[in-house]
Amino acid sequence: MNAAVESISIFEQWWLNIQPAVQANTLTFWEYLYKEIYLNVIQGNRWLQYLKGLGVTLEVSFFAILVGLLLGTILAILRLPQVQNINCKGKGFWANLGAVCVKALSKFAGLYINVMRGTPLLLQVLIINFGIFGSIRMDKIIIGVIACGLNSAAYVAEIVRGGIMSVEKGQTEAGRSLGLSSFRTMMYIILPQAAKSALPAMCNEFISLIKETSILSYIALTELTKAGDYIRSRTFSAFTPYIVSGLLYLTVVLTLTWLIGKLERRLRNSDH
Amino acid sequence: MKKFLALVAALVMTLSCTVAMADDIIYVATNPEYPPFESVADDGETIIGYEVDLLNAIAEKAGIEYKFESMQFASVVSSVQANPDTIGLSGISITPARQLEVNFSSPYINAGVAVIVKADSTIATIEDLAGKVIGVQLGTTSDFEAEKLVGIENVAQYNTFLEAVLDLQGNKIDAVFVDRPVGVEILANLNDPSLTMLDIEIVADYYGIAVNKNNTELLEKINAAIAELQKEGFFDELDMKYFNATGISVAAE
Repeated sequence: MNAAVESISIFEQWWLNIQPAVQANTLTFWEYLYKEIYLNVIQGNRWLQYLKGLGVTLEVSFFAILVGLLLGTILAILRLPQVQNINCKGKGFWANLGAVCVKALSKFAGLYINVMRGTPLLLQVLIINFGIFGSIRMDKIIIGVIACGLNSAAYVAEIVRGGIMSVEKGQTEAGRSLGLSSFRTMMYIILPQAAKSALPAMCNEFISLIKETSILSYIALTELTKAGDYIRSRTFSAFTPYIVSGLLYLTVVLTLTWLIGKLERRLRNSDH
Repeated sequence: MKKFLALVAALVMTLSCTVAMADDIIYVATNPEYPPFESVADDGETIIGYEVDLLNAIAEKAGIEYKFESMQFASVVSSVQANPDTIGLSGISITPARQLEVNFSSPYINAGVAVIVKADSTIATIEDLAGKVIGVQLGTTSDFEAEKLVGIENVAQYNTFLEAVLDLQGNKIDAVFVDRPVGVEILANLNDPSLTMLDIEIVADYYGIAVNKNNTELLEKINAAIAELQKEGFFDELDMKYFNATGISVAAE
């Protein structure tokens, strides 16, 4: 390619214009701002690095939310009073054994929730990466999904349990008296209503989870925060890459909030 | 329910496909936030720098295939210690404590621990550092030397040297211990006249490639390759390429 023919972009032109000031360290505020933006976003198409990082963040968050929802709902059901105090006396050996197993699982669920909520996510991530998967080589994304998913499950469990408890007892009684099994009553009558009342709290949890994936930068998963780290290590900027990453997080969270708000309105309309 | 099961199955499959299969590739543990030795190129994936050029030359001579694994610097040596198929290449200084955990190749550069202070600071000699707060990167030779000199309570440990220098810029600490080539690179890029590097070397600091204790075969291959590269004058080329512009010369042993 001929350098004389190739036209220079306007960004590079501005960059060249402020070069004397950069060398002499006499930048005005606006020139300084442009220098930071040029170095950390424009030069070498660095903005693509942020987008790649954002992609990883979204991927991890999405699967972690799925894991959290699935596991969290199971934990929540195990923690319900009627499951905790299950009693099958006089229904035979196998029913009794089943009841004992369920009680043990329920106890374990309680312990799990306490441990996962009682220790920092950062420590859990480090332990899962360097301890549990210490000598197993696997994709960091999977480790991220597992760590964030397991952590989120504990919070989701409490949210779902709160949602289930908020559904009137009469709903269960109505379902059972209509001849539905207790499983079907839970699936088709209680959980849908519980989901509606748990939605705002759940939205909160999703938002936290998306932001908490930034902790995965500690295990060098190149998500949005780490992408900023890598750019910073090359441009030697004090904090500009973090501002760019932060704006991207904000965009994602605001979009999610908007979508869930819409969903909530639709669910409210279905009340009538 | 069926749809849900299908979804779970799809999730499991996507996840399991990405699990890397073990083969005879060598994994290279590194912290790519350490220019000019290694940093992430503008495409966000490729790792470039002095040590990457060196690694490519060694890999060609020794006939090995490698793959980078990024991590925090403080995890590099322990990762090599735990995995026989992993080597550490991250500006790792050869120290007795680390030699208990891993084997080191013959040294290829003397980085030397230098001191960065504010230009108007009263610190001029090693003695002046007593009682001052020194910023370092966690787990580096600078960290160990600073601790020996001023005690652990006066050492501020950061994840990268850049963070330490930025805090020095903001007057939160009194001095930064840093490997000289890295310090020169940071000062050149920050272009801040209020920072200066003292003309003293705290300790000589030789970088080597960390190899698992059980993998002596690989260590021999690497050492043979380094010796050969030395004869060919490859290190002079590297010095020229990476350090000439900033005016420091680092002689390979």
